[in-house]
Amino acid sequence: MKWKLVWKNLLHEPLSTTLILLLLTVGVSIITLLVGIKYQVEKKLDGDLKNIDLVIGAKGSPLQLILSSIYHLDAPTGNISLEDAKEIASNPMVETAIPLAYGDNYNGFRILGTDSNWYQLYETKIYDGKMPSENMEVVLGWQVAQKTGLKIGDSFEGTHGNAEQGEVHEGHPYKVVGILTPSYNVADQLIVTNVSSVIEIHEEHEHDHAEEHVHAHEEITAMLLQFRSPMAMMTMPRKINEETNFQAAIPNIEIRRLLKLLDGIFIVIQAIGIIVMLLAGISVFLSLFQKLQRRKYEIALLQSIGYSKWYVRSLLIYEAFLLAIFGYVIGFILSRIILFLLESSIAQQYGLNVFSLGWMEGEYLIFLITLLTGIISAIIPAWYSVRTSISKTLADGK
Amino acid sequence: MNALTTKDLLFQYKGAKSIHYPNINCTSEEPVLVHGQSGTGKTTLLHILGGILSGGTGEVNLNGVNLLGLNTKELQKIRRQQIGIIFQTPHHVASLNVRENILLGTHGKFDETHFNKIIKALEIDHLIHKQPAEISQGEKQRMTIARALVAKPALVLADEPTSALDNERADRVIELLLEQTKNIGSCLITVTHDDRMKAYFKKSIYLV
Repeated sequence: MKWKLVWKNLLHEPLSTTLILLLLTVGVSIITLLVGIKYQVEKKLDGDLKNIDLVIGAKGSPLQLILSSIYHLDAPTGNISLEDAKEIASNPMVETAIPLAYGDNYNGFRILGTDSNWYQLYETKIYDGKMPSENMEVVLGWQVAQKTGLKIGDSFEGTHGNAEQGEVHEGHPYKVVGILTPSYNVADQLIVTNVSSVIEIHEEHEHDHAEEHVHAHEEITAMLLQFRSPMAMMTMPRKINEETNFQAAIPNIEIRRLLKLLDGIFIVIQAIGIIVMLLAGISVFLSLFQKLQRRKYEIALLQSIGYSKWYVRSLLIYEAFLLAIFGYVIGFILSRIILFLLESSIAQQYGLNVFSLGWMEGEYLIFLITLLTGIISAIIPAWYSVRTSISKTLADGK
Repeated sequence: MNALTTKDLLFQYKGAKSIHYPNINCTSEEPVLVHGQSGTGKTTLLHILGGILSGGTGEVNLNGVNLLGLNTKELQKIRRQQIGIIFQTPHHVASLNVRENILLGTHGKFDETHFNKIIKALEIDHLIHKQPAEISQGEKQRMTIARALVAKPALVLADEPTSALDNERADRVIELLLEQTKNIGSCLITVTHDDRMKAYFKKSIYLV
């Protein structure tokens, strides 16, 4: 009977119930959304690092170098000599060196020239077809294949730069020879070929456009390095930055720096979420106090026919508990819908699969906070509910 | 046989007059009518007998247990198990329908046959699925009478139970109260200022 009474009491006052639910829902969705975005962004950034110790590229912003060469989000800082890069790669402290040559796209999907180590690094294999063995052969990342509709045997011409509307490299078609398995990382969003294909296209591109071009030496965009020992981290970056024309950027440091910048924004939004939750808590508190006034005869009646003080108090606490549960569930669903919509738009805009819709770290805490908000808001009204005289209340109600 | 007796019952209002009530002796065979003008302490008496107003002195014995000597928890148990109260205002829980309001009085011990008999006798059997807001004041009063009787209490206290009813229905309700309390063996104490009710009770107490 108790839960039935609690449930019916909530339904009996739809306006008040809806208002409280709305506030709780908004608060929960803001905080859940924020935790979700933060968690997923960190997970994504860390996940795509793939134990890369160092990235070398042209001088410029280290963050830009990391974003462009690992996450394929930003424009590259420039090109570096393949020969010089190979010299660094030959250092005995380097375990793996993966060359990256990029600068073109097809329908917004980047075309990356690299070697076989890159596939191992991103744990991707051939789903259909074969790996590129000849120049101008490409394999498609899973999302690229899904979204462009390209199939094995199809040909396409790349567009210079990162924008879809750039200059097309006419007369240099790539041929699709394979499709990669889904890897749920940046590899899904790339078209991958060998380094020499990218170099070949751009050497001819430079010959076509630069009359003053003197010497077309082989260039790549960046190189990813993994070291044999952590000791190399102590010496190699400084040595490269001081003694060569290259820039050496440590992904972990740059990503932590980026996350620190983002933290400021997250804190502001988190504060807004907490304020909304507090308002929801206050509204539960005020609403229950108003209910006490409206239900004082009911409360006195229940006590007069033998229901205990705890029973009466628990009616209010259970009401707040149910409101908190529903507020959390609706807020959670709403936040997931927004995450899903964000995922769709971000995937289209930046070619990234950032979000997952599963249970995320920190959400248990939000659930507990929501429950506590509801219950704590109900404690004082519940305490006061049975403090009035049953006899006086029922006599006054004549 | 259930019995309620009072002895030297005195109630002192805070900073005001005190009322010394005459002794009452009520059994299921001999219901008691307490009547008198407004302000003579009829409702106060009822609330003391019902265990919802403390501060009285003397004795209120229900089946040998002095209610005035019980603590809050014991009184609450007595109210739940042995007392049914009909208030002058038909207090109810607005969110529950008529049936659910009546069942509030059962505390889980539900006798379907008894329930059906009562709602039929009170002519509210067609209203049980309605909300209190959808029924008249008189129907609400009959709903609260049903709630007081549904658990077959040892003591039924009725405060102006016919005040919201027309003459014809008031007669039927008081007859029903007398008949049902006799059937289930409850003591019935009714307080009223309605002199018409004296005809139904052999034993009455007049408060001045």
